[in-house]
Amino acid sequence: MKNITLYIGIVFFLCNCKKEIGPQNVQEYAKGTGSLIVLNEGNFGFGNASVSLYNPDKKEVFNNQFKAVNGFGIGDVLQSVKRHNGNLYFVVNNSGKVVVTDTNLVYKTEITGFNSPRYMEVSEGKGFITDLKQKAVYVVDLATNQITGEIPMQGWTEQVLSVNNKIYVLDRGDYLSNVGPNFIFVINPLTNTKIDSIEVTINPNSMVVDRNKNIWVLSSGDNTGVNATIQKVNTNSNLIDLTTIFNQASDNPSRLSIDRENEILYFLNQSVFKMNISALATTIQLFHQGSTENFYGLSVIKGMIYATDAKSYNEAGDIHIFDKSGDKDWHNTFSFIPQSVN
Amino acid sequence: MYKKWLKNSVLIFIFLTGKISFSQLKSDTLKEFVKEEVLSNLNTFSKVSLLDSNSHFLSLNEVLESSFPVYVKNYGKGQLATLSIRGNGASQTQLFWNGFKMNSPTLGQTDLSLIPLFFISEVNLNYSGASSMDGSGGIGGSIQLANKLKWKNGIHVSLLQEFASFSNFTTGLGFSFGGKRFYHQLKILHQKGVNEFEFVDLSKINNPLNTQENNKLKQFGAQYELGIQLNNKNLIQTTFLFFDSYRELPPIIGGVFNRETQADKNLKSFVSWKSFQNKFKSDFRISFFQESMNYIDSISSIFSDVKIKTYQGQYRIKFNLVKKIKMEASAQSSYSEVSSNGFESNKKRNESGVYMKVSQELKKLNYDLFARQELLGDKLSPLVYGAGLNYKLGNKFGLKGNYSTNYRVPTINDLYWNPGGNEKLNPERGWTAELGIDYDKVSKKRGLRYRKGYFNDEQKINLGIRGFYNQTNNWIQWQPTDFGYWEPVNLKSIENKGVEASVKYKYSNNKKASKIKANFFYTFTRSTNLSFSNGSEELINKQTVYVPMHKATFFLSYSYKKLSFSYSQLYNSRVFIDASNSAYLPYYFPANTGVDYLINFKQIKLKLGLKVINLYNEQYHVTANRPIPGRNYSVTLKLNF
Repeated sequence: MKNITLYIGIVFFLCNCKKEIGPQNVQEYAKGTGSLIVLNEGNFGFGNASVSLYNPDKKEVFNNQFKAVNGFGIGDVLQSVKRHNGNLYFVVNNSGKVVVTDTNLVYKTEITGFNSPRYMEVSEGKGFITDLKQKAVYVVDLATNQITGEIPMQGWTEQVLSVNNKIYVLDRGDYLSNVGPNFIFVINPLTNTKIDSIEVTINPNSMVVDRNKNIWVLSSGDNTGVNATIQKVNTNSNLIDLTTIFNQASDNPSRLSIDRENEILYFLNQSVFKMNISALATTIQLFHQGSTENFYGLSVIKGMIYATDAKSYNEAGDIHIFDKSGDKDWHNTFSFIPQSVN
Repeated sequence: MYKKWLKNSVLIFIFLTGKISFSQLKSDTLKEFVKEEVLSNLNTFSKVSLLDSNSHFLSLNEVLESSFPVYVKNYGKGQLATLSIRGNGASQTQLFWNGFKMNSPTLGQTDLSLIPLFFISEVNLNYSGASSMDGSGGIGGSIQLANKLKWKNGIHVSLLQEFASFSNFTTGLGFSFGGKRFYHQLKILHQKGVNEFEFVDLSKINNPLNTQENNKLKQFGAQYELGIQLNNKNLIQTTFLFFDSYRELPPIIGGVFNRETQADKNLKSFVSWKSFQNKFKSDFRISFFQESMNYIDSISSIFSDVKIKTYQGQYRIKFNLVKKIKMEASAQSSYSEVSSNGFESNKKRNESGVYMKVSQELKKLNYDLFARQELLGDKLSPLVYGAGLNYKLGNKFGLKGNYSTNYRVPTINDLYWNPGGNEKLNPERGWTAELGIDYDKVSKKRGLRYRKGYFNDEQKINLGIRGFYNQTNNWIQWQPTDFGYWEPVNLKSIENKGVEASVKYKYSNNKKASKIKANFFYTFTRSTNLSFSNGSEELINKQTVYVPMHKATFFLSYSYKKLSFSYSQLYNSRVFIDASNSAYLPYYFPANTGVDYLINFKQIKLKLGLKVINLYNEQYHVTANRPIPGRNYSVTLKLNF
């Protein structure tokens, strides 16, 4: 009988002293600071998205900072972040929410009710949020943090830019079976209406704006003879000014990024490539030859190029950092599927 | 042969017209028929579990988790559940239903939560090649499910009802009618649950309690079994099982709410004709399976529809090669046809194989050797072979060891999924070796009132310990490609080694009408990546994801007269959830306890039961971000007459 009591005692001890519930990290993560925010997308359906901070001067990395600050995880598939008015708006794709924090990552509130949100832009005190499945752009009142409306679109809306007081939305077409034609749609943020559309090459995947307010859009084409292109959109006329066509049908470029000061575009096509847009004749050049890396995301900040390596997707990924001459500056391990530096 | 066929046909005819009575049959012969199979297991540490009425309300995963040395991964109550045997994954576990492969030819796995034990009488676990008499595929091991006729004369009815937490209701009905030549059994099961339980919401600030949504479950199943004893040497058994399941799939914690649903319908049937002659035993079996799986995520516009038809046939024989050397052999063939919106056209698969086993029983030693060769389409598959031995040391100790190989062909999805399917995949191959020792002790005391076969006191102790080593090569895994889709490749080799230990104790005191039963199992598994075809060197020697290093189970039951009490405890150590071993799920330690009370009223037996599940109200995840309900209850009522 004594043994049974002892046994029950041990059992209760074991059950009561346990605090951990759900996924945990082997390494304890201390709070740190850094001017750059690294988004680690995490695995779809695993709920392991995280935010890292990076200090480029000291080359310090602090992983898992959102959880370290707030005590809970940011959610499932962290897609993008928008800085606005002393707030950070984290768009968490498969959690269908936008998490609002201050610049120290302290949780303030969250905006919910999205289907599969991707990117956010701000204009006129309103947030414009694109969505993978909703075939619309959501309009959010940033004073109340409520969705106030939707602007119908064609399909999967991806990146969104504010240029000349207009909102430019990249629409990738039906997210399951895009047949084109595909467009960049232009929205008047005052009236929340679609006012123009610019047809681009089929399967556009990313776009950026340069310092002369031209939009550059990268499309991967299709497998029926349309090769990938980089196109330049004049935002005064909303017409395509220039189209650079890739040579190989097998080219599958993605993740267009820009160094605005030096007027250089960067993108991934297994390796890292660049294209100088200050010259009249634009040519694509190899920037960094990839080998075993699984390049996944690309960002350019203050002339430094950050290429993320998702590795096998089932382990912590790396970020390779280059200066503009292509010399590798540094690389370090971040968390699961690092996808952008902001 | 023609004469025999004529005679059998006449018997069936007579049964249908139902007039003539037959001469007496020996009931001993009947028992042998019903229980014995033509093909037997390799000398190995296989584990057989005969299911009793306590498992009627359970799914296969629940029984395997509590009393087998395997790790069960599940996605929450009523949701997908799969097995890991000795460090291998769900795809390396083959399930057989009455000797027929039942893993989906498209997914290569079986969802254990869709197998209610109400319809099954026996569960058998074998490691690696040791289950090869039924077929290949179980590189880690195999679970063999069997329907053995529980031939009882007369009419018997059983009625089961369970009321459980979260609005779960289960009703079971069994009806059997047995005579000397015929036995009919009909079983019907209906299960319904809402499963809106509370869990700790890790995705919200301060981790509040939240209610699980979209977790309803509805299941209906019916099974008809027929046994016909043609004469004292021939038995026909046939089983038809229909099972229909509909369930909602809840989002992960903090995940977007898409109202996903999954409907599974399947029909399984087989006919066996066993003929037990004096020196030659045979069993001719055919089966037909029809399955459909329908997954809907209307918000994402994903509608997945898979339909599979499988026809299988087997002929098994057993005879004495020379004096004391037994030979078992079988030939089999199967044909599957799959339609799915994941393929460009319907896919077909044809597999056939031959199997042979020789065994000899000597005074202290018995051994066996086996080999299996299969054909997939017109391609020769790897040879499967193995050997086992059993050596008696005194009358209490037994030494056992074996070696066997196995392989698994890529699934139809692996080969043909559009896009990504890779027709150049090689089969996965594995081998295993194990060595162990068992100790058995039985002690009995006779009371004063001596009767034959009556003991006042009876005590049985069984101790076992064994070590295992296995390797799986050409492990198939889907990998992202440069073209934006995923493709399966022969990615890696893994190595598993470990120790399994068990203690079983049984005590019965017939005078006081009390019984004690206690079991303890412990498994240590070190499962590591040996090599990668894509050069992921930093992942070498890391523990495989979702393989706990330690697993222990403890079961205790005590019964006194009409009252019985049981307690079961599970311990799974933490599991890594990523290949680089940087994230993990903590250990879990849930317990169940129950009380049963039996009421006899003339011929009627009524059993009332109360069960507490997750006694210590532990909050845990078996799969990351898929919560398990806290403490919950069930009341059961079983009526037999």
